[in-house]
Amino acid sequence: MVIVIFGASFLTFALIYISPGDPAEMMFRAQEIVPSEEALERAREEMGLNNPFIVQYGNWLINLLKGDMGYSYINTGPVTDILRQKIPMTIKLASVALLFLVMFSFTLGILSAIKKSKFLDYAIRGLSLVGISIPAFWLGLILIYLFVVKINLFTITNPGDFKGVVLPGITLAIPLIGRYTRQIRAAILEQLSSDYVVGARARGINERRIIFAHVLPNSLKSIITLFALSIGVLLGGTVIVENIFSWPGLGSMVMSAIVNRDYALLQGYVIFMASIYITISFTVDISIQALDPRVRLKGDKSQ
Amino acid sequence: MKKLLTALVFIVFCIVLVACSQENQSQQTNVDGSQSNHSEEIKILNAATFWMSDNVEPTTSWNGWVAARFGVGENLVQLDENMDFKPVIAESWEQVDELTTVFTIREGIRFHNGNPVDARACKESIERALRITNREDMKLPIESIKAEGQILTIKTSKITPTLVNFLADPVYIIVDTSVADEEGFSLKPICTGPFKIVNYEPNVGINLERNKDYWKCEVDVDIINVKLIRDTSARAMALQSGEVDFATALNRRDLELFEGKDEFIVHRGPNLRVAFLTLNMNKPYMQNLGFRQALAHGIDKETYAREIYKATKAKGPFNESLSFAYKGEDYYSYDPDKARSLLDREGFVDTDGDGIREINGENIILQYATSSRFGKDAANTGVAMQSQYKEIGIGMEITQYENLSAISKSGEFDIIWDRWSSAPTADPQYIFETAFKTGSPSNRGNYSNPELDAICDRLDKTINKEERDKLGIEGAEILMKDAGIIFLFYLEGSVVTKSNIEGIYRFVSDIYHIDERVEIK
Amino acid sequence: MIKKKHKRISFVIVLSIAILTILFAIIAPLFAPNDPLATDFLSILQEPSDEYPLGTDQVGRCIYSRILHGGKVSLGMTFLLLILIFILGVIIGIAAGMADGIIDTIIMRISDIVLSFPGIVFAIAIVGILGPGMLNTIVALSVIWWTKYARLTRILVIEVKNREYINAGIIAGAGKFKLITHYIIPNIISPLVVQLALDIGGMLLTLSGLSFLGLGVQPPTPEWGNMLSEGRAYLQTAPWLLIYPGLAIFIVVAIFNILGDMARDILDPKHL
Repeated sequence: MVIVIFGASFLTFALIYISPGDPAEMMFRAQEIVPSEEALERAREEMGLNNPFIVQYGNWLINLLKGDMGYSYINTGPVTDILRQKIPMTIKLASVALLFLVMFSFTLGILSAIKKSKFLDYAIRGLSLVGISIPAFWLGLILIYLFVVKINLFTITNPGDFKGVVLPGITLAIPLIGRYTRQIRAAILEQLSSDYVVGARARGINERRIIFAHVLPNSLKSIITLFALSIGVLLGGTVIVENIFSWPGLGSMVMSAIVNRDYALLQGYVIFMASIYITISFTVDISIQALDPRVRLKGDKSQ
Repeated sequence: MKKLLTALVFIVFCIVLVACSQENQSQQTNVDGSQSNHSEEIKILNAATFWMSDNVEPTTSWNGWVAARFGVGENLVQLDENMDFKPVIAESWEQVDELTTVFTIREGIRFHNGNPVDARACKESIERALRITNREDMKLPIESIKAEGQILTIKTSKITPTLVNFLADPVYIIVDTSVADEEGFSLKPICTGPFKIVNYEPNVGINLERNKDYWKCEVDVDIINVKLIRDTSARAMALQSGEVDFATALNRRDLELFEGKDEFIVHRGPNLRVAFLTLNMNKPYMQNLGFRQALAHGIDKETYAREIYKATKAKGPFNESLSFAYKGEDYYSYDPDKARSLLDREGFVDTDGDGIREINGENIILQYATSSRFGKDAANTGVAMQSQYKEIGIGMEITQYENLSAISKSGEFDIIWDRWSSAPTADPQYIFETAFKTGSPSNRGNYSNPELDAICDRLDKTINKEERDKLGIEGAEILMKDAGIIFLFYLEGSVVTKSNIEGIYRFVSDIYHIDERVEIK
Repeated sequence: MIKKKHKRISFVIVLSIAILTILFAIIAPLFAPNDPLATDFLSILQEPSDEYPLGTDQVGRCIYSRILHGGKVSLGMTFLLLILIFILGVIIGIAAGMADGIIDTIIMRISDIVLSFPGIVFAIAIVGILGPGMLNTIVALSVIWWTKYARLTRILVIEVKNREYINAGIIAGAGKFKLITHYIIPNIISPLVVQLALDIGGMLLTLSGLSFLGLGVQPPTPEWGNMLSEGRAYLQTAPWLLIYPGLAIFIVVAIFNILGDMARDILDPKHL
């Protein structure tokens, strides 16, 4: 886990190192000063830019461990402060989306599995195909037009309240809902054809009881693994959704960091995203292993 | 057992999620206040703004505009919606000799914190601005300021015909200097306006409340919540969905959604902003007059103005409503043939037959830069120019930056699309001195023209208004002829409000949005 | 049995539609009535008409022509990316699968690191550092996505490696290269192709999403994602700027998603 974060930080650092653009010059630009060549040279020396790559990376890592991620010149503040400001907004958006995701994909997936090959199943499968095929950025704009402009049901400028969070949340969730509805359906169908269900049915146990007392808990762990894997997609999706809904979170932040070549901020973003993603998958791995020792034997967890 | 545990983990997970999102909601509602119930007594105005600065310290950069826009700060004298002077904190003023002007400060004005405003307070505020402002363009040659009771006497070290005009700029908003060093002043400056800042959150919004002791009148609106909405179409949608009652600077197309509707009032008309292209004079080919003339001839700005913006094509920096505007013929009307022959004559020719001309064997690909703050319009001009320049054999690439001054300092551009308030002081000298004079602070293309510099020197010494106007016209013509700056069009300003909001005026200067006259019916 | 036949027929139909889509994207520019880059200021933001079947955009360009040309760009990028990661992934995967020990471990550790990272976030960061552009986007996504194919290939190779016919090949004196091309690849190709088919839609969405953000294809080159991004400001006043490019993406992605699902059902039934 630590190795992975380490590797990721190394990769981004290396990329930034080879990228065009001189951090010393950028610092001056941020202060709206045109530096002389000597001033630049002095700044490079002070910032340690003349050291070999490995030394620079080492220093950067040490600072990172001290909680110092550098200085963002577009926001004129330490990167950590800016991240602290933006992280709650993105977490809120992602949580709301996750909530929608859990609510809808479960309901639809279970319904679809129970009613296999009936009309409802086909309708849900059709919808989930639409869900995974529709571009989120397009969907978001259409939702804004329908629900904000036409029927004034939701708002687009109040990230704080309920009316403002529904649309971005649902936009972020829909592609994933499409995906997980199918996978939940498949997981439940697999359970439904297993021996113990056949046996239970033979014993005349009520179908609803079979589903809720046996099938669902048994498919749960594979589903939780799926959700853990979806965190990455969810976090990636926030960039587009935040952009459409002018959501003041990490996604909007990273776009302005990119446009303005604010590498310190970009790097802070990458490190944070990597850590949160890895922490979540790690936690899920551990809890699943704790729940079911068999998983450990399976080894590879390919999709 | 394990199944139960799994289910339990899952349920807890869900609950935590719900709890988190709810907790955030309730917090936000309290801070924001906009969601609290509209009771009969409290009148709340929700406004959208397109720009906010990091803080509201009026002496820094253009931050004072934010204070001016929402009725927080006031000057001795201000420009009203029609660009005429109106007495505010000073009830009258008089120029007693070439170098001396006397202001009479109105009795009974108090700062937001209750401290009285007298000549001394004004003197200290102006001196503070002179001392700490980073706006080189707003510096005044002041020799001494004398304060006696309500009489303020300002002496300049040289003739300053535009003293009053400058003092009307938001940089010279009168603040209570006795508390200016306290922490938080830059977010809640203590001024004299009809509204005071309760909470200023950069990049998010401003909460303002009525100044109960406002000197001029009882203010009707109790609370103004200003939200920053950068995206033009989002501002329009926020108006439509009822999230805001007031928005400015809407997209021209979007204005059509509000015009002729009973629920909205649309104020629109030309403002002082002019859109222009700054050429980077540090590039050797830009030093070539023929090349610049070809660039000017190569674009059909009249059609852009009419079709893209419904604006008027520009001939120099000042729009025709101003007395110092150049009203003669346009030197460089759209003429691609002329542009081509100019380029041929100057030796910019296409030798490898790919349709793009070369300099020293390399294709000419001009770098067009603009700020994302200027929205779609600026990029659209670029797209239009791109296809027209292709026809005269010049390539172009468009990039939108967030921060134009950074890119202009880096010098990695050929053309910057910029827009500027051409006469915030109601005088021609300002923009010449700020953006076009040799070495001036916002001269992004490093433009230098001795003829224009001479005009600036003459403006320095000219008091007579008619003479100054004449110099303004002359300067505008010089600039246009030299084609170092290509003036594109004069922009339009717009203010849209819900129809129950009254007392809103569209200021030609664009400096003010809401003042004490605002009412909610 | 009948059901299976039924499935095969519909698969062939969808496959033909998909192939037609690709062919159409290649020749579509020939049908474009106007130059996709030519601006016409006298007809800005016009509603669909005879001259401009899907209307014009904010600088008077023909949206229909831009969509036709954009399809070539969008699909072209997608397939370029697919081929790149497929070749890269399969070669590395075979190398890892055939070579036991240290090489295998190193390759798998690297792919562990890449995989345990939110892919799109990393891609955005890479494009951000390299600078926006079509090529950089493809590079960034290849850096992330080869791992998926490498892992799949490796598992398949290990599975196949010890089967009898491979041993027969070795006995017959086949060289390592011949072994791979004649015995291994034919036996692992179908699950890989299924995976590929399943990924086409998602890749097209990701690429156009990056263009929408301004990181991928740069204006004025028409691409469906950046057309949407340019048309955003006219959501209310000229919705045709948004509707048609969005529909184009949606339909094409849906076709490839259906194709992927069907391919999986038929060629790789054990997956479900």
